Amino acid sequence: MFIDLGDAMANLEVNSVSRSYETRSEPLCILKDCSLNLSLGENVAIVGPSGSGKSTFLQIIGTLDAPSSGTVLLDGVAPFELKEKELALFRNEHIGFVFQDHHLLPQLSVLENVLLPVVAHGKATDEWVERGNELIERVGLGNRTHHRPGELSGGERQRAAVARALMRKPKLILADEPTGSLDQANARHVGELLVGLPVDQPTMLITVTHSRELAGKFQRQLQIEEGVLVSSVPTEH
Amino acid sequence: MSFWRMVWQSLLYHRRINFSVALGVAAASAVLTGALLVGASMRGSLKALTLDRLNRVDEFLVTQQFFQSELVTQLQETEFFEKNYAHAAGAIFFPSASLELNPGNNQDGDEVSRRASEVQILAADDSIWWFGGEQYQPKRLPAEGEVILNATLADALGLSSVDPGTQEVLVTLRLPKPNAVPSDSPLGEKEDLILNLPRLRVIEILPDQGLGRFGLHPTQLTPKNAFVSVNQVQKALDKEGKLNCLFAGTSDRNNCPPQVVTAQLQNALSPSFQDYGLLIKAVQQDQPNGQAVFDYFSISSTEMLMQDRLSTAILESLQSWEPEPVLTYLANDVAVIQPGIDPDGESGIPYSMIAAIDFSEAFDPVSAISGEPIRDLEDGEIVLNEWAAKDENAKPGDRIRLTYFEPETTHGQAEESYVDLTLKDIAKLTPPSRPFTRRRAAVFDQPPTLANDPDLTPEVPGVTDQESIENWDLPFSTADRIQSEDDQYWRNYRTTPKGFVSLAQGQSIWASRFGKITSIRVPSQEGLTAEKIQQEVVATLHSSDEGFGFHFSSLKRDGLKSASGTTPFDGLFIGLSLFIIVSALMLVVLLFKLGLEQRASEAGLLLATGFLKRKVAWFFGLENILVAALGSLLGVGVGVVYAAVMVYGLKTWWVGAIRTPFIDLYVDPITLTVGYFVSLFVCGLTIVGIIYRFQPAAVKTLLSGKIDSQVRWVRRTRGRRAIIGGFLVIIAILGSALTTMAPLSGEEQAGAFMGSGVLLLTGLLMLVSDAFSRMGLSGGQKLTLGRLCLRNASRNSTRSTLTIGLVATASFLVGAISAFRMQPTQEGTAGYDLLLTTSRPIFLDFSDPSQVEERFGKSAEELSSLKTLAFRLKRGDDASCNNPYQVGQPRVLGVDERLIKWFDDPEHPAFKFSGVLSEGEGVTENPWQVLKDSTPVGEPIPVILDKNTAMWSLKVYSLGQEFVIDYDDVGPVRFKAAGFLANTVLQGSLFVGDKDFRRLFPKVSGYQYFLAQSGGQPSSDQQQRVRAILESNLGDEGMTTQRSDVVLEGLMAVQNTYLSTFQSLGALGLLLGTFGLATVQLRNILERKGELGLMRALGFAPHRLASMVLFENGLLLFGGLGIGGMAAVFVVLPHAWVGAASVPWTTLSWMFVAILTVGLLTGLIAVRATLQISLQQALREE
Repeated sequence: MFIDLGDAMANLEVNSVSRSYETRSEPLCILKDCSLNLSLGENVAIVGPSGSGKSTFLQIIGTLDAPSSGTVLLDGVAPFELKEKELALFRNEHIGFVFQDHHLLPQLSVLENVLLPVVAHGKATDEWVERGNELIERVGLGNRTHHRPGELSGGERQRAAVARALMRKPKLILADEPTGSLDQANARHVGELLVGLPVDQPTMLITVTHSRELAGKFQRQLQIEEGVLVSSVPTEH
Repeated sequence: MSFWRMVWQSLLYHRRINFSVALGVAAASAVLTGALLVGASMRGSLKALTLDRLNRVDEFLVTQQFFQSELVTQLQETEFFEKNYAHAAGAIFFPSASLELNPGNNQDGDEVSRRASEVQILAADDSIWWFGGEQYQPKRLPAEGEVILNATLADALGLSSVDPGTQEVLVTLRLPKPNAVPSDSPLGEKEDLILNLPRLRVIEILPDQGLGRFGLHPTQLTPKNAFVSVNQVQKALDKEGKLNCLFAGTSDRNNCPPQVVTAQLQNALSPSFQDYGLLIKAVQQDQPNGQAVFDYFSISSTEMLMQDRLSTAILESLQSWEPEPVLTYLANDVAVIQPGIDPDGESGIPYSMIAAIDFSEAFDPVSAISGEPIRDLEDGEIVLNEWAAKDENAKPGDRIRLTYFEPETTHGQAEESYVDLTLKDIAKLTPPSRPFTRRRAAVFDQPPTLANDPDLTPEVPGVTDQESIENWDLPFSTADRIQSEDDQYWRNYRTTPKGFVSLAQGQSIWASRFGKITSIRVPSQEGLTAEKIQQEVVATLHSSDEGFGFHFSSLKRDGLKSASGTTPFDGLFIGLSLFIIVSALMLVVLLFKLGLEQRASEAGLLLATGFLKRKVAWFFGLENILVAALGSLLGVGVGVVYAAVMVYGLKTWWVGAIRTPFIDLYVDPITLTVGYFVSLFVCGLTIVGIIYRFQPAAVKTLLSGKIDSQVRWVRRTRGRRAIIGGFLVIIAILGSALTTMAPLSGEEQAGAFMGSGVLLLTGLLMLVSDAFSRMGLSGGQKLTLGRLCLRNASRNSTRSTLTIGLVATASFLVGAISAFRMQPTQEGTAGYDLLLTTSRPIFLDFSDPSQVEERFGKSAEELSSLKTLAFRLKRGDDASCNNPYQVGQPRVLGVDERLIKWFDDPEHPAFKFSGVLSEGEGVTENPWQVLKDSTPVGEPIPVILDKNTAMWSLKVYSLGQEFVIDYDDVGPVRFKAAGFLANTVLQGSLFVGDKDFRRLFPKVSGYQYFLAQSGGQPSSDQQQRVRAILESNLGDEGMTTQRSDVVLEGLMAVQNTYLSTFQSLGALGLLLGTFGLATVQLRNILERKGELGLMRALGFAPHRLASMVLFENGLLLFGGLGIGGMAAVFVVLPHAWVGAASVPWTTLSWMFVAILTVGLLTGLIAVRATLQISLQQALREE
């Protein structure tokens, strides 16, 4: 099923993406022929039952996994045709991730974790540090800049992860169950943060979630069942 | 923030796991650095011992002949000496005297007389003490009748606690008498060879420092030294003003002059004609009318015969003056052969001098028959003088039988031989009008002839200076055959030869290793003087490289070179610690991989954030290289402690390996630096290798948070792994078999053995890993607890294989090494229960009852069952494994026919050989046969030696290999390894055939080394009695007896002690293995906490789960023991096959039981952890 959510000139084009795995008995198909177009400034929530393939879909969009068939284009670039080094740089510059488990490096402070994407291909200059501090302020962790992840609450950790995702000013932000391990209050807080991302430029946001409440905050909701993108529901605000 | 800061932060944050990796690295680094330090300590200690032994002595010269003491002064006054050396001193030195404590003088006051043999005697004035350093000088020099002992000698005499200042202690010193005529010559003295200096009062006991420690040979054992008055010794030897050794040194105790300076020192020394042991005499006989009958200069040697090299050099130097060589020999009997009657060798003229000289214009005695000069004396012809011809009623054409002693004796027994010659002519001989007296030569009324020349015979003290033949001081009796006319001849003609043969004829029967010329005649010529001849000869001898007895030994340079050690100890220790290093590295791999697996999600995040895979690898790699750097640093520190423990062990528990506790810990920055960087390199390489093989799986799986199976390691495909494993096993077994036959050095043998072990273990572990992989894939079988355990173990096959590897390595080391422990066997002694050595050569034939009775008197009966095999001895360094120094000039023993014949009999127990060059008949049955024949000049000398001596000391690795030893006195000798003895009491010496020995070392006479069968069992009364009799009756000769089984045990103790050392290292490896096992088990439990919780929730009783964990532990433990044991057996078997190893099954079994017990006890830690798991928490985590 093809779902076009964007304008005529989509910035993200996912065309007929399928993903299957070899098993001892027979190939296991996780995603089947999924397509999606998205433009800058748009956000969308992908919902569906466990094992439906929503996380796999997100990981393929995020280039963390490669599709068995189909293509992904981001701003006209086909990331899976890039060489490993180019792909890493592409991901670093254009995609930001927020995971269910925040995946902050425990040995680094909040600021250092936020600066991590910069270090992937260079050094955190003063300008980057300034941006890091600014992002931390924006996500409401100004008083936690030099704290370690172990000293933060679950919600704070996730907010730090959001700041990290924004560090390189990506065009596409992917969040995989960002509130899955948070309590209700924190989940709400993080959800609001995500939807109202303190971005400097138009950004695309795709979130995978079980949470109807969170999904309800997004412009669109996509339903995925047994690997098939079955419907697109505009959210009523 | 930078990448480096990230690495640093990570290093600090993961300090626990990093610390555990660092500990593994530290273990490897400690063993490596420790091994290097042990090597450095050994070298450092040997060097310190060498410097203690020599102090300021750099160069040393000892001569056979005594030289004038002025030679030392002359040397010191040379510009070269003043520029390059600080001091020189001369002395009289005897390397092997004996000292006897006079009865009643020992500290207990009892009457037991104590002896010390192999005592070094130094008789010198005060100038010698400069060499030992001012602080170690005696309070005063020994005057005549006094002696100073060093502490070791005092201890040997039981005087260690005696105060010579308050207590009078008297000793008798027994010195070797210098002989003009070699003892092995029939005219040489064989019995009266000892000079006694009785009742010397001990005035001081010096510590074993300074000259008190001085010794010629590089050995860790302190020599026994005694210092006496030089004047007293000179008087006793009748060598006033003469010395036989010279010391030279610089002020720098710790260094020595370069080789080129030593060579120039040789040139700066200017021995005189007399110092070379040469004599010159102007011989002139005029007719009554004043016309000369003969007028020449006679050059002869103080040793009766001139060494070949010396005589050749003299003849060449005097070539322009037409010198004539002469060989004069004593014929026991000169008789005309009557038709049909075979002379009995006693019926003719007794004891006649026969001169071998070429007849020519220069020497043409007048014929008593024709009155014409006799010329062209051919081989096979003889000319008798008028007196002899008349006495025997001989006429030209008669056959004359000369009976004489063979020029060399065997076992002190002179053997008679004869030659039949044709009487060519009779030389006219003029009787003197007045015979010789002690003070005056004979006086002639009638013109004497050329044949009237007693100076054709060299001077032999005790013979040519006697008034009557009866008084000749010879080792055989002459009196019973001397008639009045013989004495009359002696009075009239003295040593005038009674017959002449050509030089070639004479040399064909009388030339020997001692020489083939007794004098050189130089015809008197205008302007030629004795001084001129001496100058010419001295100039030639001086400019020659031969030295002719004046050869400086660079004691310090050679000593320091020897101090580098027989064995490269660092290499040996590293070689045998290889397994521990490998174990430690395996532990590093194990811990590092565990750490990486634990941090897989971190890798996932970095990759997701856009980090390149390479950068992620760098991140982990750098962090762990820093860990390795810190671990190596820690290891270097621990290595110092480890080396200190090893050195302490070598001084105490394992002192058998080095004989005396001389080793001290030497920690030098270079060794530490090398140890650090080598460890860092090896561990860093291991880490880089792991990182290289680290292939993170898909980022999404890394991020999932599950650590089991998150990380994929690059692996060989299963089939390939099995094939490579099998291939390695085969290669290792073949390699091990080949090392038993290949010509490898000791270090290479050790390396090859260990290399085979590593290959075999690796191969077997690859097979195990493959089996685990297959097990992991197999399914559908009935699930039992045991099968579950197997599946659990196979879940992380690399981890399990590494754990098995750790245990296997330790088991291998302990198992394989124990197979090389040695026990003395009869083949090690060939049934000879005693080893006898003497300070001085003896000529006694123990197989001759009459000689034994004569020497031992009433005690001879006790020796009736004594059987001996005698060896000639060329003194040198002990090349056995008892001596850790690198050997420069090993001692050589001469093997005579009796020994070869003895071992021809298959009934006689034989020494064990590990190989022999199969040249000649019967060699396989009796390898000693390779020494039977004399070797042609220019060919390498076949030598039999112990295989360990060959490999470790002399670096001779295969039969047939040639090697050169440069002996100070005879120059370079080329040997060829012809047979290898295996673990016998004969270790440490080179054995050459008697004929070769005599040619190589002509100055050595008699026998000093014996194998003896006492006729009793070891430590039986019979053996004790025989030892006591021998030591008591041959005490003057410094007889020492040792039980050969004890000596052999001592030699084997060296290897056994090394094995103990390395078994201790094996125990260390076991410790690492146990640590690894415990770590893996605990890690497994933690990883499977949820799973185990689930099993408990499903109704598994805690004890059942504990059993499962214990079983898993046991599986890895048994696997390790089995693999290690199997590898040990496979590697040892080829060595056991050739007899170099024997598997001590019982000991080994016990050892493995001990390892198993320790391992299972370790498993209880994991069991305890299992039982402590909280069900709720585990399930919540799951």
